[in-house]
Amino acid sequence: MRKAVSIIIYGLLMAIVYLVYTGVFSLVEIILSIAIGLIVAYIFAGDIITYPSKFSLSRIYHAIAYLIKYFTVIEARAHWSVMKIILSRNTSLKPAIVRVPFKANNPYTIVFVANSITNTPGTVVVDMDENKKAYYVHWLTPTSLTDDDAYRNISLEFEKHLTKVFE
Amino acid sequence: MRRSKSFLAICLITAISIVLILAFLLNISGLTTYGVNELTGLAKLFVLNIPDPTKPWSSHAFEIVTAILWDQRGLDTYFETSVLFLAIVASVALLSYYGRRHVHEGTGDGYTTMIVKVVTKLVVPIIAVVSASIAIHGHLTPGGGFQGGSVFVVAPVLMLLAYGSRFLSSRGFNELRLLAIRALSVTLIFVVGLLPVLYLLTHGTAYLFQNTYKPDSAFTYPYLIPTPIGMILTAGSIMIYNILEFFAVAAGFTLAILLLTREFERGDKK
Repeated sequence: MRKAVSIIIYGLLMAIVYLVYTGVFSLVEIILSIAIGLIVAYIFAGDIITYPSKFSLSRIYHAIAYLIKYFTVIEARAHWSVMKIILSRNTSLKPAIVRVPFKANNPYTIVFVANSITNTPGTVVVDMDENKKAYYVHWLTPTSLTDDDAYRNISLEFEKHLTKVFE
Repeated sequence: MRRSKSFLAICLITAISIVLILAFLLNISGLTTYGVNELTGLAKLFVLNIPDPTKPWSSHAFEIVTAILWDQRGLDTYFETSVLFLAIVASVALLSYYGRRHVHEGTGDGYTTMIVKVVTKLVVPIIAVVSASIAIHGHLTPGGGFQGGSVFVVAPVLMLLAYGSRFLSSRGFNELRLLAIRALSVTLIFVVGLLPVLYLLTHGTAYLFQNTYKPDSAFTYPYLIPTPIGMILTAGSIMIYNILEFFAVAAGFTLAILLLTREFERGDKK
């Protein structure tokens, strides 16, 4: 039952992608988009929907709240700090690749934290180790090279929010 | 320091003046506006007749390129599809391991991380949806069956790179099925093109790969279907061809890439 609901919601999301790409919002097009979205969702659901029983509205709420916070507050702060470095005359930068451990278990959490780190200016995930549970992050302005400090400065905020969404 | 600045200024001024002189010459010689306002004979015939439903030679399709490919030159496009089919058959004959016991299939574990795998998993359905839209609207907007199929093939390529060939075969995309889809689609394209000939035998004039009615032939595929939810413009057989070609191209290219990836994963092991 939960599985069917998950597939239908995923199919509707794919229908929205289809409609936005097509750019026509007539009734025929909407029916066609839902049909194609449900077919695609049915084919790929087995790989994408990993835990249908965990679906809940509070997770969607947390996801939207995180998206808004990420693209306004966190991105703006990161852009501002990198802009200051670019425009300053002081070029004594010492970038470093640091190891950032993670505690999450769900692949979606791990990947979205990694993508959040990469998408903020100043930090880029260059590699990861699934067995040692650590990212290797290129950090433009490292304040400390220990694992704990790197975790607190780079990924704590992302992981805190995304754990509520995916774990 | 001063010298390099003046050198830079001279360079800039030279570059800008060269661009301005070229633009001026092009404009005076009339090369920039050549042929924009007038069409040559064949182009005029196509552009004025194909999208206009009142004309007797209309294809009832707004995308003139796709209409020419499937209506005016339908037989030619059919043989192009057949050539591609033969190329796929040749690659299967060279690379296929169907029926052999020890087929080496990789899982992609050695060279991809979890990030690549999860992002691939999320992107693949979006590619599938977009390619379906390109194929279905082939008679209305730039696109069509071949283009949609080619876009779809990006999805199996990503899956093969991220997960290895075992993933695709375990989801039912094996050689025999893909080849069957390909062969069935090409056959159906030919059947759709052949239907007017059956009409010719029983009723009257019709042409091979005919789409809509012509001045001397009443045979037509339904090009504007009234439904309770609105009119659906199918442009006759063009939409059918596009959808069939989509499956043919998607299955054929997926098969070729699956076989090549398997060969790549096998490496030098014999």
